[in-house]
This record gives sequence, structure tokens and C-alpha cells, in this order.
Amino acid sequence: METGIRQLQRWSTQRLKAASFLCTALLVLTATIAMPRTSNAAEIKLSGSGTFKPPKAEQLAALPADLGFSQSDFASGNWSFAVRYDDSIPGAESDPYTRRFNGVVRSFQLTIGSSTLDLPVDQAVIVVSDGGEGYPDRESVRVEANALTPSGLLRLRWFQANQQPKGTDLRGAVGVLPSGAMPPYLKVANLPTLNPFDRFLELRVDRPGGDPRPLLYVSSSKLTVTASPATAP
Amino acid sequence: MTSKLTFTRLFLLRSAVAAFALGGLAGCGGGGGGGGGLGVGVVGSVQQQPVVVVAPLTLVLTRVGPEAVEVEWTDDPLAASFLVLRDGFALATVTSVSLIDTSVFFNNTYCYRVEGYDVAGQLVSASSTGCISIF
Repeated sequence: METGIRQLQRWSTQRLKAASFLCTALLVLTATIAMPRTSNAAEIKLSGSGTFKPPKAEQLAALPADLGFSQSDFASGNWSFAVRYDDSIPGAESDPYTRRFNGVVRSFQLTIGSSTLDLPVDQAVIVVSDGGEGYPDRESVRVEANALTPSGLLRLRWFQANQQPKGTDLRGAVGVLPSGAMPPYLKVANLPTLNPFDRFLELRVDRPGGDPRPLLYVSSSKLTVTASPATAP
Repeated sequence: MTSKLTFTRLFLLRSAVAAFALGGLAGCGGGGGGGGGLGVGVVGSVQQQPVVVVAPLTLVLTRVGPEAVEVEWTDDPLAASFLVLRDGFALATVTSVSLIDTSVFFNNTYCYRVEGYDVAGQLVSASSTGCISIF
């Protein structure tokens, strides 16, 4: 009789242990499933919006219809961009103080007026220069993309440069970038610059055939740019 | 608008003249004795410089091409012409309130300043210096 009671107690203890183990396992499983959503901090969402000076009426009239943006889009003087990029990929050194991050851009959108264009990510790149490219007095971060359209080559770039007086050597720890490595996303959005004009969004469309005069050129420093880790897929 | 500006300009001019005159009197106040404040005695004659009141112009620089910068500034009704200076040197004299400088090149920085002159050739307005780099 006593043996039977002891056996019942042992079973009860074993069941409790099993339940506890199952609960723990379930928690671990849940956490594992949830992990990719919360720990995907490597993907960054960068976006900016602002205004630009609309091209003159004769320039608007000369724009081709297949550009992806209408004359009224350009006449609005409003534009924005949105980029998603992976900041965990090391990139390749193009000189000791410059790195090119090919293949890190996951999406690149440009909106002008009420039209949005998805730029090809295989033609998008982030370039970080810590006084490289032959300009030791300049640190820069460029997020750029090209797209071949029937009207010509479209080039968009979010450009920021911390340019100091000639003779300054910003390579290495001096300045705002310690190296050509991918900077923190806040600097990709807003690199401290000496001159407020040294950060701008630029759109250029070149005619096919190598004409040096662009079909369209728009540039503006009047932008508010933000960045944050991407949380949604 | 023009009359208001002219009035403001005249008011500023008169204020400046008055301030200059008072400043001159204060500067010469050392000989009277008896005053409690500090006085500076001036020996010899003082050449009074004409007071020039220069109205401010707002300067806007916009890159309008890969190698083109549009220089714009606010109008001054008293100015008959504007002198655009680039890096301290005269670039052009115009009667408009903008010009496009297409003689800029990549990887260079250009600093602009605009001065307005009246029909008599007197400086009546000026902007501060603004710089733009061509990357």
C-alpha cells in the first residue's frame, strides 16, 4: 500500500518535471521563432523628404514622357527617397580609406510629386570615404543608384561630405569617420558637415549617346533625412 | 513697399549719423574736466568718414547642373545694378537678381557675394558670402 502511494508521488513529481520541461521548451521555441523579427537590426531603413527648385517651364516641356515622372511631378518641387540596406556586410576596399558596399541595398525608391520609381538594387551602392579617393580633407557617405530608362541613364544619390579646408588630413581617427567602414545609420542619414550645402539629394538623367549635358538635373539640400533599424520584413 | 524701405533706410542713415556725431562728441570729451566718466583726449583734427548704410541682400545658391550654380539674391529697389563676386573677384555685373555660373568645376569650392550699387555707383546693398562645393 505504502509502495503504491510512493509510486504515485514519484509519478506526480515526474509529471511536474515533464510539464516544467515542456513549458521551458515551448518558451525557447517561441523565442527562437520570434528572434529573427526582433534581432534583424542589420537591416536599416533610411528615408528622406524635402523640396527642390522645380525646373523651368522650358526644361519641363523638354522632358520625355517615358521618364517615369510627369511634368507635374517635377513642377511640384517635392521629393523623397526610401532605402533599405544591410549594414552588416563588410564591403570592399577600393583604396585604404574608401569602401564600396555593393549588394547591401535591399530596396531604393524615389518619389517625385505623386509618382514613385523603384530603382534596381543591383545598380545601387553605398560608398564611404574617410579622406580617401585622393581627397584627404574630405570624408563622405554616398548612397547612390543608377537606372537605365528609355530616356537615358538616371542617377540618384544621397551625398554628404564633411569637407574641411585644404591641407587638413581627415584620414583615420581625425574627423567624423574613423575609417571607410559602414558608419552607424545615424551618420548615414546625417553626417556632420562643415557646410550645410555639402549634403544633398541629386537626380541626374543623361541622354543616351554620351552627351555631356544632362537631360535633367535636380539637386537640393533642403531635406530631412532619418534612419532606424528596420523592424518589419 | 519701396517708400517703406526708403523710410527705413533714411531712418537708419539718420540714426547712424546721430550715433557717429554723439560718438565723436564723446570721444572729444576729455578736455572739459569735471566729468565722472572716462574721456579720451584727441590731439589734432579727426577726419570724419562718410557713413554708408548698406542694406542686406539674402543670397541663395542652388546647383542647377553638374557644373552649374545658380546665384540668386533678394532685390533692392535702390540698386541700379548688382556686382556678383566669386572668390573675391568680379564675376559679372547684372541688372537682374540671379545668374547662372557655368564656369564651375568638380571638386572645387566657390564662394559668392553680391553687391548692389545705385545709379551714382555708390554701394547700397550687399549679401553675406555663401560657399558651395561641386562634388
